[in-house]
Amino acid sequence: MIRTLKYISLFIAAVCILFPPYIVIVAAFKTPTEFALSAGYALPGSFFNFDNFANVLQKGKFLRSYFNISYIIILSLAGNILLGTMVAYALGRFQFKLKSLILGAYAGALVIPGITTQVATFGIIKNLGLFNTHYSMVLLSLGADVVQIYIYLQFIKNIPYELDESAYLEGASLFRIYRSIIFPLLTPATATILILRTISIYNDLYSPYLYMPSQSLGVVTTELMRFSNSYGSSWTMQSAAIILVAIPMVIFYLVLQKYIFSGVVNGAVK
Amino acid sequence: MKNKSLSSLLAVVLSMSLLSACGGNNASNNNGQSEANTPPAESAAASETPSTSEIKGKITFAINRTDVDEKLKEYAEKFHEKYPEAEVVIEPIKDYEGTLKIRLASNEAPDVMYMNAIITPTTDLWPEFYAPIDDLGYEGKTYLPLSVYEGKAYAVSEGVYVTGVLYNKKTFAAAGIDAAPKTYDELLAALEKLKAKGILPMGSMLKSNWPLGTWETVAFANTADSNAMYEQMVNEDAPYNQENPLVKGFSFVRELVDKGYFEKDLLSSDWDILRKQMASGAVGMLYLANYGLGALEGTPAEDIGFFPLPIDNSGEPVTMMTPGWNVVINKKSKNMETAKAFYKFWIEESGYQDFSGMIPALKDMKSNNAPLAEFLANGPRIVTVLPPPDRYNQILNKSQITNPTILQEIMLNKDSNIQPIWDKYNKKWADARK
Amino acid sequence: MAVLSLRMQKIIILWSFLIIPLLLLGVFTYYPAFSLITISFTDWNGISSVKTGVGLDNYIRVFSDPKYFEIFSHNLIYFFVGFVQIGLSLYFAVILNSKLRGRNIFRAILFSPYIINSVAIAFMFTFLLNNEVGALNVVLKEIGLGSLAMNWLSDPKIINYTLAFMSTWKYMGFMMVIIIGALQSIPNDIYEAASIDGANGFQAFRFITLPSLRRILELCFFLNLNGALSAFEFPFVIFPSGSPLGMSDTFVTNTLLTSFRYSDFGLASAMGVLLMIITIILVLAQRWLFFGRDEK
Repeated sequence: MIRTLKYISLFIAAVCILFPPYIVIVAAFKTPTEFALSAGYALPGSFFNFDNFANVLQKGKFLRSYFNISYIIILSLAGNILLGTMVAYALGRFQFKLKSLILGAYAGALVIPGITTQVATFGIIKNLGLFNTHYSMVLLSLGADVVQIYIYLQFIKNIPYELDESAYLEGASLFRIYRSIIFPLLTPATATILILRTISIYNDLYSPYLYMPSQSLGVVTTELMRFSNSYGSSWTMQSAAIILVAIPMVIFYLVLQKYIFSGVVNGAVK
Repeated sequence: MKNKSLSSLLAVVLSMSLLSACGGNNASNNNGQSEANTPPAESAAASETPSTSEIKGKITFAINRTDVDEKLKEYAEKFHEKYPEAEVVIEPIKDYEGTLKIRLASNEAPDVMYMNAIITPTTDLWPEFYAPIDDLGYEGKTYLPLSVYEGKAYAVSEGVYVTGVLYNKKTFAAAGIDAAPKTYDELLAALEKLKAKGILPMGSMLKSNWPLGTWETVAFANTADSNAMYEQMVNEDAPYNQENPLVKGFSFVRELVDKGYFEKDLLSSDWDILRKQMASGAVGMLYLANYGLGALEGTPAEDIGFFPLPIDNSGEPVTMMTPGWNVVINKKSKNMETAKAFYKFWIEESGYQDFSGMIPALKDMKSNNAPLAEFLANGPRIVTVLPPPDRYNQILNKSQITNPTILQEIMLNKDSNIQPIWDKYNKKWADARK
Repeated sequence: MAVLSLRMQKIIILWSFLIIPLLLLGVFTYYPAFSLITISFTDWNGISSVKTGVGLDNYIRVFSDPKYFEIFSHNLIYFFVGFVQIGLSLYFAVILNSKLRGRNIFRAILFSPYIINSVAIAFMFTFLLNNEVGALNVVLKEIGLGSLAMNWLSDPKIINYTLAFMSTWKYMGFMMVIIIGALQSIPNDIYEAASIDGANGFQAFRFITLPSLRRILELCFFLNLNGALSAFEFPFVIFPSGSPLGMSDTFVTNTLLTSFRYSDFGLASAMGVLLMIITIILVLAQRWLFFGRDEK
């Protein structure tokens, strides 16, 4: 009974979630005339009409843009994960005077309306000589945000402290404890953060346009949004573009999702 | 986005010479010009550019079109071909004004770029950021006056637009309209016929906001010198009175609303939908400028018509000429000569004006756009619309008034009593003037 | 290698582990915030090298303009719809944390909107919710629920709810994943012990799950409040130059227009500072309201 109710609710949610993308998917396979004449939810005449996709792919410089965004994501995530776990270790394992102040500083950061402080941020990037380089975006996404800190702290709390203690008694330094115990055991949290950060960097449309306008630095979103100007764009092509932008992230998520949910505690104690 | 510049403009009636130049742009008006027999760019390059050897190095140009990569590449190659030692990097930018503002303020602006009153809100900022272009010799050669501050010119618009009504000839024929209306009564009759056929007579594009800027220019159709109007407005505490051309122009639109010629649900009226509905005949007319000619997706070019909006029964056609983007050179450009060479190239030789459906900025250049030529061949009276004075912009900015927003309110008002709206804006205006 | 004392090691670790992250935080978050505060006392137009001090003028302008109260009423709608989102996230997190056939598929589906970028989502919904050709109204009419078909994105009474639910659509899965993450870290043996003691599913939820989720729920409430106050992405993408009649303007979309459209960076900065202050006050108030009693 309860199980059935669970399924019914999940089913309803799935329909609500999938209906809008469904509309986009069918539109991407329609020809412009077919699109104009048929109902939005009607299936396309053929799922083999790849014209829209071909058109979109033709207009973007894909290899380069995938390379650019991957480079940015890999560099910034490497730094971000390293710094994030370090902060988590420092804040999650030690008591010290400034701890609550630092936690507060991270929480407070969320309160600052970032979008209205762009002028100052741009000035910093420019003065560091990073304007129009990959590193502007890398640096901007290097720091941990409060969600990340929360996730890490939540996880680290559940890594038994006895592990640290026994390692220390066996002569391990605190740095070694971080490197060989805490960092590996934070992997599920890291996977979660990896996914969330990758998605947000990948979908960021604003920063690439502002900080790296050079065409050779184009990333996937900017490359695909190029033709979605309010002038000559068509809905069928835009639909195809949306799908093409989303596909790498969908695959990425599907591949990584099993790491997210592999419980941390069970692994550590066994 | 060039349309935004429509939202704050001023009209001056132009001389007859412009009229004919614009109207035909054929052999007859080339006679008076000294450079008539050589293409203007070549002669210009020969006479005003110091020497090609100084044209070298890399410059950047920021453009607002993000959808025409291939074209931009073409322009860059063409420029490089002409000046082999020089290279231009064209950066397409979304959210142009915001981005350029931040970059200018941080001293990281491109060498050549667009400018308007959103990017540099007052004219006294021009000398701080832009280089004078007096030495390019455009004075007196353009349809619209150059942007001048304290005797120095800083910008010329890359092209010009004329306002008019876009329609599908097939839709008109189906509704039994034989010819494009020439008087206000004929316009109403045509709208009525469309309505009777169940066709939306006129698309308002209210939701999209910027197309309403075209209706704003209706205000200028009857003024001889609207410069005076702006001067008068900035000296008044309640400028929106019955004598004000803007008020009259907006009442003209409101009348069309009352007659039921726009959508019932104005708030859903979207340019992006309407431009595609032209093809199926779901909508009769759209009041825009010539940039709309290339945007009616799905409608075959030979079916597209474009006529001046008849605002009265005089039968004399009138159209409002508005500038495209103003092009400026970064004062801090490290390759000033190259930047200037590109500036001239962009205005005169790039071919961008034809590609984007603009009328070229210089009087002695031809427009290769067919429907536009037809439109101008009828010799409409041309009223030019120019940027308003700083003080006017300052008041608008401080009170956060934009004319398309006022018009939205007027069109959406439940009844035709729009006086309370004007009262409200008069109060805002008075507060901001303090 | 000489073994350092634990105390010494701790000091070294804290310094070396925290210095770079804190530097980043300072430079990219707190310095811009500080400059926001300085600008709020000037009449800066966003570009000129001159900034003239105007004292508290900008703050007075915000407080003396009644339109901001209306704008805040729009943010309030986001806030209340946000609770629906938290409820749904919690519900689906708990369901999808239990042993259920196909749970990975459902997890993936519910999370999937978060993957799509906001511009695309806005595009998708304007397309879906168009009152005439939009698929939603067409479907409603066809299944005989025509009376439910509405002008989702053009009726001033409805639009803010629509936009808020678009946020819910996008972020529900994200919140769910965070909560599942927290659920995973509750040791299973507690539940086993409880079930041996005869606790039913609801009791287990009430006395084990909820308390363990305290921190993460607090984060969710915080994110919701902050998200509601700073809501801007969908209204801004749909109406980049302001909505007709201001029907869907939020505090941040208005701030953006004030700065980038009306070149009034002084006023916009004052609005930004006020937003920070209001957020801090409301976060503390909410915290006290929901968690005050069992605060340490």
